[in-house]
Amino acid sequence: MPKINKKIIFLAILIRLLVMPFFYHPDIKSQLFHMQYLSHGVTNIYDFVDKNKSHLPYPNIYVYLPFTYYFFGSVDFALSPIYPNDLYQWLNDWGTSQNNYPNMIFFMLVLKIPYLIFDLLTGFILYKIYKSKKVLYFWLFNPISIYLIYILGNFDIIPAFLTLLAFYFIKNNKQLLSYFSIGIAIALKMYPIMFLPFLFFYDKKNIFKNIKYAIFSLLPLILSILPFIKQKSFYDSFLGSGLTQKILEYRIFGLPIFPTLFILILIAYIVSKSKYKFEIAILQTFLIFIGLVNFHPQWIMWFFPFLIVIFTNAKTKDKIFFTIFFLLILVYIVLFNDNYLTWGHLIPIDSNFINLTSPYQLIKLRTSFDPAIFQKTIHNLLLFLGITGSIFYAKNK
Amino acid sequence: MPKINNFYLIIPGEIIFIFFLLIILPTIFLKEKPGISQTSSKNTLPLSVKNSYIQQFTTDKNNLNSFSVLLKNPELKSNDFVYLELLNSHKETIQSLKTSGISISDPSWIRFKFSPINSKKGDIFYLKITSNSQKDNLLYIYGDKNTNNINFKTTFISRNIKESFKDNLNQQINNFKSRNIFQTGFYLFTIVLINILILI
Repeated sequence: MPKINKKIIFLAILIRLLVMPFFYHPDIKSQLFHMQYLSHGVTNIYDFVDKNKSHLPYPNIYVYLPFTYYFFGSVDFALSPIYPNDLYQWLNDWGTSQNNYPNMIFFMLVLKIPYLIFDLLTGFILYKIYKSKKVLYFWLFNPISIYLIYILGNFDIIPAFLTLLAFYFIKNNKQLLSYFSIGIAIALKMYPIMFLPFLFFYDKKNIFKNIKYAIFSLLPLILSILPFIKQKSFYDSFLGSGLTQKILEYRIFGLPIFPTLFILILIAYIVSKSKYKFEIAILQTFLIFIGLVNFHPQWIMWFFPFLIVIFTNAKTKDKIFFTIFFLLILVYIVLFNDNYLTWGHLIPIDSNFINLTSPYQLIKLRTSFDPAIFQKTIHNLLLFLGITGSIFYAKNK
Repeated sequence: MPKINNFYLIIPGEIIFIFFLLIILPTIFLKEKPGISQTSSKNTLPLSVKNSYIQQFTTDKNNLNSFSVLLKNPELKSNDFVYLELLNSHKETIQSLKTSGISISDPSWIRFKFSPINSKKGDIFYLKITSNSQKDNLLYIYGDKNTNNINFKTTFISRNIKESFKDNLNQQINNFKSRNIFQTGFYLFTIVLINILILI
């Protein structure tokens, strides 16, 4: 394997440490708000929120899986000795002063430490898979992953790392470890279930063995939801997350488009002999997902580690295509009527940033365009480019 | 000529990044700055024809451009009017706003924004809050029942880049001072340490 320059790794850590404290998104707070109750001995968060929502400072329901609660509740407990003194005060302050904490930069720094670890581990696994410095350095220094991990501050990097780890294991014929890894990822967040068929058909010789492993991979999810299966509060919370509805939203003649195209990609994957068939299938899924699903920006992270090798090996015209595609995604994100996706990120620097006019409001106030229609147009353009790109890569595959 | 280590470029890079983030960005975009914030009282005081309030304050920055008071309209029942007035040191009204109960929540900060006043730091002003409500149990204002001091906030405008730069610099210095000194030290130490590891 090519030798890595340690200075480059330190530089990557330095960049992350400079970005981590100064950017905020309320998701990091709302997630931790619920997770903190594990330290207080609450084991059934769904029931707890349901019974206490009238007097909780943040009354929204908990929308994640039970394992996510136990995992991040434990992380919260482990990190609590290094929390700034007023972190829990901030965590439970959802009033007018919620953004006026001078120590907010340290809240962000501490809360993003687990993300930093999984981000660097993702780079390490990419390096192990592709044995390429170019792939590692691209992961470490591309602005997209830095934005997704440290500015949006969502925990999707953890299931994304586990999914990549599953791919690494399957490439090295370690099926059990691979399915165990994706199993943990699924128990944390449901989406890696989308990647399971690609793992399943990676090695077509052992289909019967794979069936056994695939069932095994769902065990962490099943075991963790089993105690809650009869609870209404669990269903209410779980169905509130919206991924399933979003995936089924676009239809032609009543047929949901995304699942249909997904099956076509899977069939092409099964018959493909390409060295990069897994990565290309993920890229194709990503391209149609972006166009067909009203996605949350952090969902890009699910696919992103797998796209690195394709981007680094791409020809110039393909690189231009990807650059345009990601720039359009950025425009799409900026056009959400949510100031926390633009100026609000800068609250740790000055809480008054949240009072600035968002791009959405600016377009609405200063022009005759409807920013929602503009955003929809961008989404349609992404759909067109996504399908075109997906067909192009299908031919290559 | 000896070759310069490219890694030395990270030092100016870091300085520019931090300076841009903490100073330049707020200087350019944040013209409006928070001023006085008196928000500690949790008590509600009746606001009606019989109960009006006058709050004196001394400005801590130039160019006052808004004030907010915390009002409460329980169960959003009242449609009565509330009058917000800004008085100068001679108690002459210089800005006034009439708002109806419809725009008051249970509770909400009611903000009165006006064209910046040519005021200087240290000037004395008064806020006068009155209502035409005949009953004492329809509208409330948050304040201290012993002193009659009300909850209020003010904002100020920086009129030019120089003023904005100065205000923002002061704001960042105040933030720096109010942060946990141990954590600030540890963070800076880590950054310096990683720089050394890169450069040696």
